[in-house]
Amino acid sequence: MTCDEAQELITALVDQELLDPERPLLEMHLKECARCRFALEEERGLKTEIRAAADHLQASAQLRNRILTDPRLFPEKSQSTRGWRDSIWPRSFTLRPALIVTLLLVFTLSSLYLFNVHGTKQPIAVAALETYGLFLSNELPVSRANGAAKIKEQLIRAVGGSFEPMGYDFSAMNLEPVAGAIREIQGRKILVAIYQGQGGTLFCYTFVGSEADAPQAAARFFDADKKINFYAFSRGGMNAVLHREGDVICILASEMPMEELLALARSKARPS
Amino acid sequence: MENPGPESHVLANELTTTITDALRKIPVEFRLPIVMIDMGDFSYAEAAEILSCPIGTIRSRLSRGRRLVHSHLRAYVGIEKGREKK
Repeated sequence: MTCDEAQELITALVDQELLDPERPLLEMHLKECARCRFALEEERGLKTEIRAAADHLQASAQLRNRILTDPRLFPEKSQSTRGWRDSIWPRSFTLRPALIVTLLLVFTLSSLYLFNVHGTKQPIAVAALETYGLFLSNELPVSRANGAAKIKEQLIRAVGGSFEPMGYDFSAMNLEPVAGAIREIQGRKILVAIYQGQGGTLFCYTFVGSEADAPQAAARFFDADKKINFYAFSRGGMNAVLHREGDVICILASEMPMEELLALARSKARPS
Repeated sequence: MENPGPESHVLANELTTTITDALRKIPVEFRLPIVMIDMGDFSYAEAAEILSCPIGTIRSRLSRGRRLVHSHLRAYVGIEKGREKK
């Protein structure tokens, strides 16, 4: 048996679907082939991760109700005529719950896809993050100034003093403020303070809003000491953490690992 | 049991997003067997009945599909396996 021939059999073994006479042949090959033993372990790990991802996906209640009340899926509840539906709807009652689960997963994945690709109004927090890519490609008009105080002054003036940037000090992370920018998204002004240094690049967004501005898919954590909710989300390889201070929303965004960014946000956030 | 903490939830959420992103990127004929068998707990025979194709086709598409997903996820799978060993 070659390694290429073993590949499909490894898949079936992982799923406990490999029977005689193929199983003993594969087991013999695995004893002799370290590469395929490694492939077997990798595929087992992958299956576990995909299964775990499924546990995190939840279809909306509305979608769930639509599927569970759809007469095509529950013909016994309606007087539907038999026809093409028979070809996709299993006659076996044991298969129907499984098909429903699959349909829920497929629809959930599809809705995620549609939201990402064709969504017309993404959350302001997600839209704001697009400035990060614009800055890295030198397409973001920024105001460069010497010193944090000068940048802060320019940003405050840009919004007529109605609110202020957070003005966090990240010098301990080897990050210094280098520029500021103003963006108007969905009719709201967003102050952007840009920090750079040996610690990389970090954006601090500030705008008037509420915690409802956090993306729905964000993971929420409550810091019991500071009594602040933190919302963590990722987009386009960048991590972001949102929190509220009074009526102002702050988002820290960076390519640094999410654990570090979350810890940083928690250390800097000030209770309202 | 020790509370895994918020960072674990963040990583789990991130991994879920990465996996669903990877699934979206692969052709639907490879995606469906993964969704049915890995996420929906179908057997090969059940998936074959619903998709109206031979069991061998399910097995080959699943194998190919997982390899495609794996190519998108290699770094993440490595991280998770490393964490389990701690």
